[in-house]
Amino acid sequence: MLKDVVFGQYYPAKSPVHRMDPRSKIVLLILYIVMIFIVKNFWGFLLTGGLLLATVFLSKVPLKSMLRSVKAIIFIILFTFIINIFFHKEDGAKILWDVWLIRNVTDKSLYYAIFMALRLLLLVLGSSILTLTTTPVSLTDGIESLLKPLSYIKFPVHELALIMSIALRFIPTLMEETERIIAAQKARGADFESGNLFKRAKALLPVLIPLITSAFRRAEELGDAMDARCYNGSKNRTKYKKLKFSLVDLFGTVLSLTVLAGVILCNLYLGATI
Amino acid sequence: MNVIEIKDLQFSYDEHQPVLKGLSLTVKEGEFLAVIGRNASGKSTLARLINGLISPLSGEITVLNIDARKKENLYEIRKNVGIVFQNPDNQMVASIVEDDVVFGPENLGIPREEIGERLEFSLKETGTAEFRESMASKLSGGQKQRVAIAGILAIKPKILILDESTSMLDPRGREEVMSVVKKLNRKEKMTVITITHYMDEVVDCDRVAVLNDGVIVKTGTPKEIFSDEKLLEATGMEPPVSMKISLALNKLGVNTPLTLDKQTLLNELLKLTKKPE
Amino acid sequence: MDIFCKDLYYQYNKNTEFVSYALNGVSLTIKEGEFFGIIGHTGSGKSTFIQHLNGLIPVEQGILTVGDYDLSKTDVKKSKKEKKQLKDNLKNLRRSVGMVFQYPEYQLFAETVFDDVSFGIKNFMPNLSPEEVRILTKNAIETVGLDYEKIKDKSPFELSGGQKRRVAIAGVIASRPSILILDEPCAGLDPTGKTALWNLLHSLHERVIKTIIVVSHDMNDVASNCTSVAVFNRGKVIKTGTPKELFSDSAFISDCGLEVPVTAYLTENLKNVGIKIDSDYTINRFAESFANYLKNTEKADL
Repeated sequence: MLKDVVFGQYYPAKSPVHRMDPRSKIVLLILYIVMIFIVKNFWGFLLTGGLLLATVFLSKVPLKSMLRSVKAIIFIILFTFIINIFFHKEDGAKILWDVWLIRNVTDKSLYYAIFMALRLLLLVLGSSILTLTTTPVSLTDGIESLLKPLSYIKFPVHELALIMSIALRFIPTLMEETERIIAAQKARGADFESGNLFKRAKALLPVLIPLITSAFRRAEELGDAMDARCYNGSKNRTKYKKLKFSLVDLFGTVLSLTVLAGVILCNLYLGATI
Repeated sequence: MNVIEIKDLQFSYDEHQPVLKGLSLTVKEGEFLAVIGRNASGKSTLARLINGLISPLSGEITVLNIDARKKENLYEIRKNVGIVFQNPDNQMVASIVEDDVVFGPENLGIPREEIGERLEFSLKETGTAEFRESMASKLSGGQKQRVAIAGILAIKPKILILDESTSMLDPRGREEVMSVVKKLNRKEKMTVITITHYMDEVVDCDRVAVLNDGVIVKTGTPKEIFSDEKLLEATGMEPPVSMKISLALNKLGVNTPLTLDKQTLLNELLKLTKKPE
Repeated sequence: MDIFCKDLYYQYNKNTEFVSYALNGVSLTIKEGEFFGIIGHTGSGKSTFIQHLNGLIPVEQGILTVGDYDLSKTDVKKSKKEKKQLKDNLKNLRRSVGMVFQYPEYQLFAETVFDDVSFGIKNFMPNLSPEEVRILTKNAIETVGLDYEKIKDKSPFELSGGQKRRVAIAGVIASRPSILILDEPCAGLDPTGKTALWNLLHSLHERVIKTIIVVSHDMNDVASNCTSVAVFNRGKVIKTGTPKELFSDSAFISDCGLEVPVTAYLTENLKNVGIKIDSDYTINRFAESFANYLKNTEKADL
């Protein structure tokens, strides 16, 4: 079901990770992504993977929820793996396998493929920790606050953040609606599964048109509801949830920087696999 | 005291199709008023005018002594008149209940500490505290509408309008929402205007206004309105089930007073079956 | 076409932490010719169940037959030819079992009312000539009480709410199903619209559609309109019968989280003080029975 898509889904729990300031979570996620992309050997992955596991453990998010987000992109990971294993070329690589269909597999291309797959996996898991432990509003609050400097050059930071949080809010609603419309048109004999690409695209019209119509209707109603609740742009607006750094953030930052140092040391002293 | 005074109000979205054609209505402080009428009779437009979402073309409308004809007053009016719309999915801005409830007071620039107090109050009054951290999309229709009411209470309005807020709910959800609203009316003395198609919800109101073709054709107690068969027929309304039964009995020559609810009807029927001493 | 099902199970969110049973062993028979009511509070499995009846949700476990179509779960692997056969069958099934979802007007999509109503006909019967399509479409539009000539070229989006709903229903009955399923058909309508829609359903039932199945929350409507009723609770059918049989046990109805029709409330409470009113639970019949009771006791007194 479409609803299984984990993106934008918040998992309520009381944990140190939930308590962290969204700004530090965003910055640390970026730091973590940098780490997984500079890693040069398996020791580095052990460290970053360890950091990830520790965070998952501390966040109290059940592993099942995490794995669902992997399920959604498992094909992309496999695809990257396969592409790299066959097409990654490097000088001085030792050929491991070169018979029949499976050709040109070298030690380098195998490592490279494993690395890329691991990076994607760690990337998705890391990002979903952020969305699972941070409510959409505090996530957008975090982004708004981080982008604040841009508002001095008249960049509409508040509006952008509001648009993001509304988009996140309506993802599940529109997913549900899509399912309902698909079911209704199937009941009227619509066939989404046969015919060539053009035919299939055309078959989607009876789904897309009602969906877009309804999205516009929803937007209009939401606009009214926001006006009725005295929305007046960012002018004189207060924020209830104040972002505040605390000890948890300090701990998170120190932990991440330690791992970063570890990764760099591993890269320098334990040799490069790729 | 009248909190709303409307005189000869006219409104249209486009020139050829007037929606309100000289509507007059007054609403008293603390009153529970129901507005009934066919689909497209102008009920929602009336709600939007009272709430200051739109301003009238001609006629007078004052809400809490603020003149709604002046566009610069509309924001002030919105602070005092909250409105719960029909579709529970389309009035929540934030994904998480708590974040949504504070949206109004944040807009008004209320200081943080006070928003916190208002949040607690609103959650408590609407019985939504238990899912304050839940995703809005995971709630039932009735729960969503209660959250919407909480979001409005946090603005501290004097008047609450329900614009067919129960029409997409199941009976349980309707019950939840109406009991919250009734409590607010009784306990907090909030003026409530409910626009509805459910005649059973109208029964407990102080007063009913029947809107037909852009004008209020009659106001009165629920009993006065529902006993007026000609009016009901002309405006496409129907009495609540209990009254339908007493009407059916009267047609068969069994004289029963017209009753609005089932308990009273039962008592009347029991009286009839008792033999005269 | 009779509908027969036994021990139907269905799980939502399989293999996740949110797993829940939507159907928990549904057994039910719906005979051809019924005006069948399905009641139960939200989340009792009604919607999941009706979507099984035209194959929108495939049977996971249990037996389900609709007329000659066997939708039951089989473990036997099917050949390509059999799969094709199955797909054709499914199309025929969906043609025979029309489904009107809640707020069906939100599925309108075509540029004109004519195109929208004929959508199903063209899908189900691709070999019809344009003239045949026109006749079926015209019939459907007129059957739901709209003026064909006036409305056929209009955009469905510029109609009034009530008209939109009628157009949506026309789009389902246009391909002449023998079973019509409607999920909360009266949701959001004003009293006049509601009465008119129930009248429309009865006239459809008399003239063109053999079996009508209605999911409704309004017990007073169900009591007044249906010939048989099934009560859903926690993914099971816990009782079936005529409205008379069902609503005579008002304690049971309230236990299921449903409201008791006013007529049933009165009958029950009168019975408790020794006054027996024999009626089904329509308003008119109740009034007649009560009037007769009064007459008879008066006679007895004389």
